[in-house]
Amino acid sequence: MFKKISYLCFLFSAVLVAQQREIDSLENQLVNTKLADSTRLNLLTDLGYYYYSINAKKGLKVLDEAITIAKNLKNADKEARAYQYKGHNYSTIGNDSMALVMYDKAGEIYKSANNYNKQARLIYNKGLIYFNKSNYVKANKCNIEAFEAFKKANDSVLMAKMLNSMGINYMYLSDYPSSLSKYLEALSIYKNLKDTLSLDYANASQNLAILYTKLKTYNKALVYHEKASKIYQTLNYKYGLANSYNNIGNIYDYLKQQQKAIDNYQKSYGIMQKSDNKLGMANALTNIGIVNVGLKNYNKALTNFNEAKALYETIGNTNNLAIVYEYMGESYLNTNGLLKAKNHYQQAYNLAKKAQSLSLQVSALEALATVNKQLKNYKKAYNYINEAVKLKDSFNSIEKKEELVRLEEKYKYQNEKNILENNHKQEQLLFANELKRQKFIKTTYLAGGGIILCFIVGLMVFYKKKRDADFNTKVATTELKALRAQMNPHFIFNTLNAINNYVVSNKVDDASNYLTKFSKLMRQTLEVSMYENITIEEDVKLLESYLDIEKKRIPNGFIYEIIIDDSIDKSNVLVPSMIMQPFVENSIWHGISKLNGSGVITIQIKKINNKQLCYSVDDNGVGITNTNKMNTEHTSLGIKITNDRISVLNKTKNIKAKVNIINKSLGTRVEVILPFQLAYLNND
Amino acid sequence: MINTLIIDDEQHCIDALLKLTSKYSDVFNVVKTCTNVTNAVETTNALNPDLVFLDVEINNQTGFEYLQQVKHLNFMVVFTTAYSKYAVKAFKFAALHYLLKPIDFDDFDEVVNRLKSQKTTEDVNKKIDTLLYNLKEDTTKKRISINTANECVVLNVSNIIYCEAKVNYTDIYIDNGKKITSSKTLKRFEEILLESGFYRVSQSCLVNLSHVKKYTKTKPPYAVMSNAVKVKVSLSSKEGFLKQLLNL
Repeated sequence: MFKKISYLCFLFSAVLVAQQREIDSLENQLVNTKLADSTRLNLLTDLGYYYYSINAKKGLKVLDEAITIAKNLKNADKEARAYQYKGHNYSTIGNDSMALVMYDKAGEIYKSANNYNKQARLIYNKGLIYFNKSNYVKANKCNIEAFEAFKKANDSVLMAKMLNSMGINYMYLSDYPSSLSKYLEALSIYKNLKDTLSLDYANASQNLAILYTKLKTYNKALVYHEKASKIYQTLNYKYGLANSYNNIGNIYDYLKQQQKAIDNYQKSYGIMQKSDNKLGMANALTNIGIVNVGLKNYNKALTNFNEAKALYETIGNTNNLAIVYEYMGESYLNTNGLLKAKNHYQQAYNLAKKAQSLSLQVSALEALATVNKQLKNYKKAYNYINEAVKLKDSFNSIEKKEELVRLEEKYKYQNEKNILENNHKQEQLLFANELKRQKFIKTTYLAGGGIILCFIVGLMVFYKKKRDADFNTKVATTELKALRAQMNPHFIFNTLNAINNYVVSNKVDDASNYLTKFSKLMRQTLEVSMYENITIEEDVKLLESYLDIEKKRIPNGFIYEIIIDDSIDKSNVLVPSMIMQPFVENSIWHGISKLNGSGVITIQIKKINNKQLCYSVDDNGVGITNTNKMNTEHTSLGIKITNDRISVLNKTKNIKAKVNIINKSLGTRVEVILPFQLAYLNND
Repeated sequence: MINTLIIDDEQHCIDALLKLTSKYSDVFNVVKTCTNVTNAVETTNALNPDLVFLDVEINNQTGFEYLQQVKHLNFMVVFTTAYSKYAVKAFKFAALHYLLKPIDFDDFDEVVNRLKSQKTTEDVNKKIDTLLYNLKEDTTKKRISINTANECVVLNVSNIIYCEAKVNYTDIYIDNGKKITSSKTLKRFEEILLESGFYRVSQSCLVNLSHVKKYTKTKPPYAVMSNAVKVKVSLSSKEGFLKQLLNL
């Protein structure tokens, strides 16, 4: 098992690229400015800042003067800045507690000035200090606090920085899913800002590469490292480049290309040494040592580790110290120094616990188990291995690996989505509008088409119905006309027969008279047969003509009377033409003609209610029951035709006309019930 | 006594008329009977009858040709015809007497009574002019003879705005602002004028469609006539009326 020291890059480090040139120019200016005024204060503050990466002790001195001037000038902002820079300088020389004090002082000033952004920066700086002290939980708290503050300030660059730092902390706390998500979030912010050639982006990429290395996804790791190192080279950022060499070395070591690995580590060490970066130097040495362990060059390795140990102890890096102790333990284990090994492993475990690194604790416990086994201390070995398994489960479960994959996919998607949203926001908007418009048009067309279709179908149905109805009406009308026309031949033959009787009996005048009456009736009948309905006035006139003719034919004669209700306007109420004629004829020929005495025919028209009309004929004849069969057949023709007419009328006009034939004690009564129909509706 | 000439191409029709007139021997003096137009014209010019029973179809000629050929239209005319819708309509327009063959005694009696009450032959002139005019002109420029209480009025049909029923009389409103009253029922006028651009809009009104200026869709609806009179339109006539208006 290899525990590599990887360089995790902080965005803060971006400002580390101090230019000696700038310091020189600032120093020159400082010499020319002796007055303790704001000009000198500015120069001192700037210098203090630039010194922190070059000469921190000088920086502290310069910043002390700056604080004095700022206090005199009551320039709170500059004073806070000077404290902040002092914090940076203390941090560089490894005096973290003083750094924290300085940051708190600056923070108080910013707080009283309500400068949230600067306060957030300080919180972040404090986080860095905790990070360096391997207190990742506290460091992360600071990062999250700062992140929320930057989010409020809508400063996405600093938000990304915080995400990167959080990623680092999570990684150290062995919470790889959280770590991966934070890195990817940070990268996606940079991509959205189109800030992919900056140091920030390089640092985040590098950190992601380290995480991939931890997850043994070496190909991906190398890709991100290459991205990062290219940017560092372009920007001539030596420190970053050194980190890159170190990390690439790690990967080559994992890939069993040890020589390549050592070459990269040495490149890194060289750069770190030039800039007097103790941590960097120690890391490079540790990693070389680890490669040597792998190559079973334990003595060489121990030399490397001891050198590194000393450096780590001066800067108080617990995490890395734990790693060094563990490898030293392994080296001793392989060189038969079992007790030394045990002690070093124990130390490694204690340090790992202090640094709250689960993975380091696990490996230390596993190593302790191995040592104790070799010391035949099985119970202890069992306990250690048990504890190790328990811890391991908490961060290395299969589920977590699966979660990682899922998260990665999610962030890849989110990344693409964000790019789309940001880069093509306008296009999207336009597209959405266009889509909306098209959808609207589509919907409109669809709806319009639907309506038109419905309309057409409706129209077709309507026309078909209307045509059918028209056709039916036409058929019915034709039928009615035919039925009305049928009346005539029936009547004609009866009449011709009567005339023949006159001629036979040599009653010339009667024959002539009868004939003229008949032709007059014929004329009238023909005229009305064109109309479906005629007024009562006209119909009654026709009946009178008819009755006058028949009166002449009945040997005993008869009396008739026509009674019309006063409430009925004869000239405005309509009845089907000649509807009563067959019944009247029937009454005459099969009722009263059989009588010995004189017959009476009563025709009556009454309103039954407001909707119906009763057209009736009464006779005092022999009645239907007394009529012989042959005669019934004879008369039924006219009645049949009338019944047919009524049924056709009922069908086409949707009315309920009917015929009632009533046998009275003396004679017959026929009622035709008709709808009350006006020629001209009264509007009033 | 009325000097009467009977013109008919069929002898049995002449015989029938002779039999009828013989029943009124105190009224009619049949001076001659003719069976063709030429003979009839000559006889008329020679004898100056007071009354002519005139058949409409005389061989291949008509009674109208006879009327056009006689010198003086100073006699009464009673047309006789078997069945001619066309001719009957023409007589009605001109308010001339006519009898339909075979002639009913009751109808004949009615005509006799009317002839007896007829005062001048001047009216007959007008009526025959109307008849001949209508026969010459196309249907759109028809004239109508209307018997009023005192005289016979001849009108262009197009001058009538509307006819209104007044019990058994009919008021006729003319576009010169005048009104004449006829003893005929509105039903009679409807029969005559229905095919000349008139429409029965209600039980009491027959309007000339070309004189309708506006139609209001109020309840009840009205037709505003050219003389600004509002004529009520019956609900049952509304539909047909609008149809007719649109066809104009």
